[in-house]
Amino acid sequence: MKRWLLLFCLLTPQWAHAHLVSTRFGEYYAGLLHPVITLSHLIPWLALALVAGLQNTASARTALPLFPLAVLAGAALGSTLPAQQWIAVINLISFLVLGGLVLAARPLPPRFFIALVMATGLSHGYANGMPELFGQGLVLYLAGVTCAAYLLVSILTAASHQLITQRSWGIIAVRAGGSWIAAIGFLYLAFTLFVTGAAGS
Amino acid sequence: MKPIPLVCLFLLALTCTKALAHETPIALLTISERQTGLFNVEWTYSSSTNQFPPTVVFPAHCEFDYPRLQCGEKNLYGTLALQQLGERYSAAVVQIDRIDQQPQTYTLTGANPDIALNPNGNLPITRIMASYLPLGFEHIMLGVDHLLFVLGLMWLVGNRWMLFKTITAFTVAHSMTLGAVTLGWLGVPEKPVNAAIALSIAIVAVEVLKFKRGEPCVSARMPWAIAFGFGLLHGFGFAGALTGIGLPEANLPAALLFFNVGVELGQLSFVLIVLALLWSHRSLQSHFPRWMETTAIYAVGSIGCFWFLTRLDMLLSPI
Repeated sequence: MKRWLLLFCLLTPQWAHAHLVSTRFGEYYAGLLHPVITLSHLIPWLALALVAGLQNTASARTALPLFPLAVLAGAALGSTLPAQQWIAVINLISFLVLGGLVLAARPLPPRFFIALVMATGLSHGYANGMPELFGQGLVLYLAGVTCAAYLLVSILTAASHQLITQRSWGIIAVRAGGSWIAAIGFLYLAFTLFVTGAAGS
Repeated sequence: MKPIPLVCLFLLALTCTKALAHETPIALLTISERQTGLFNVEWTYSSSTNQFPPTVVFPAHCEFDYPRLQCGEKNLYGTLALQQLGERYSAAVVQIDRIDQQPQTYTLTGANPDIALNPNGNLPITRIMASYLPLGFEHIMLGVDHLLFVLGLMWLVGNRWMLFKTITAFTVAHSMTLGAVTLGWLGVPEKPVNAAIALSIAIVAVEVLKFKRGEPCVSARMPWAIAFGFGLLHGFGFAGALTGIGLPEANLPAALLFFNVGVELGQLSFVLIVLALLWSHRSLQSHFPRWMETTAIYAVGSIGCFWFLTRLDMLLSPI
């Protein structure tokens, strides 16, 4: 399974430029689907939700409004400023950091957790920016990306929190997931840096 | 009205630029036989984004020089394909009018962009399902007015059993009118229906406000009744989209069934996503401030009013 996931990741190396998913469905759905079908965003967002689920309830629920707002701010910046390759590297590193935190399964200091949520939201939001769009199209696209962030993180955080607090095996499953995410991130980062050399160009 | 909802309404008014009924962009390709093996080809298309129609690829033995299509003795049988269909249009209807035969109609979509033309003209049921089920799903997903109405209904409902009854009543009602219009038993002009659908959103928003304030309202006691009544209206809206697509007469019941199943799947997906969100907030003990909920209800009602007024304007203004 892990090998298939890895192969899939290697075959879909989306970089800092986001791509319109479906122009016929309109920009809102393009924004909504973009992070959902891009593994380089979906997996770290899943990892962030697992990290949030590991916190206490009060801390976990701060991610619900903060993450979508950070993604919105990042996507707005990414749509107006030029694409940056280093953002893509940071996003790859977020695989390792978030995967490692899930693996460690430790509650974080609330301020550190908030900073982590904001940083992840801003960098992944930036990579979801769409410089080709402007005006109403851009507003709809940003609304779609923000809704995707809200839906994914809300539902996954609640699911992981329930799993950890109400099932004895929950924490083991979550930690195993964290190790997979970190491993995928490590291989993906190594492939990107040393095989494609894209980050250095 | 409190200041925050008022500010939100103002922002909403600034961002609302269009209130047209959502479209399912369709192109019609009419192929009429003039002499045996010689056809005349014509495109009819309309799209708010002014997209050109898809490129047609006729069977290899046919020679095409728009609008003339020469297929010779082998006639127009073989594979007909439309390129770039999903990128530009939701669907394209291909209508073939042969000498001494009933006209044949085929609906092609991005997922099924080609059709095998054979002398008997029949379509396999899997083909009809693959064409019409995604169209129904797409129609409800692009139909923000239908989704806002369903959201309003969910606000009115107190428990899961009542939610089930309400959504079922809405489904049964719109299926009835969708079927009746598509089968030609009923006919209602599209513009007044679209205006009334917009008004139904505003009415439900008012009912939700009353319910939240604890004022007596029938719709909160029997939300399934309001769902059924307005569901009949929304069915007319769905039917407008379906008749616009064009239906193969020989396969009408199957096409209607699969379009409706697509609509129901889309509606069910939306309801499940909203329920999942509510569950996630409840389990994390995250409660929205009261002003935020009131603002959201006002926003839904305002959008309904705005659409109603603009659709009414379109209805009353001479073309």
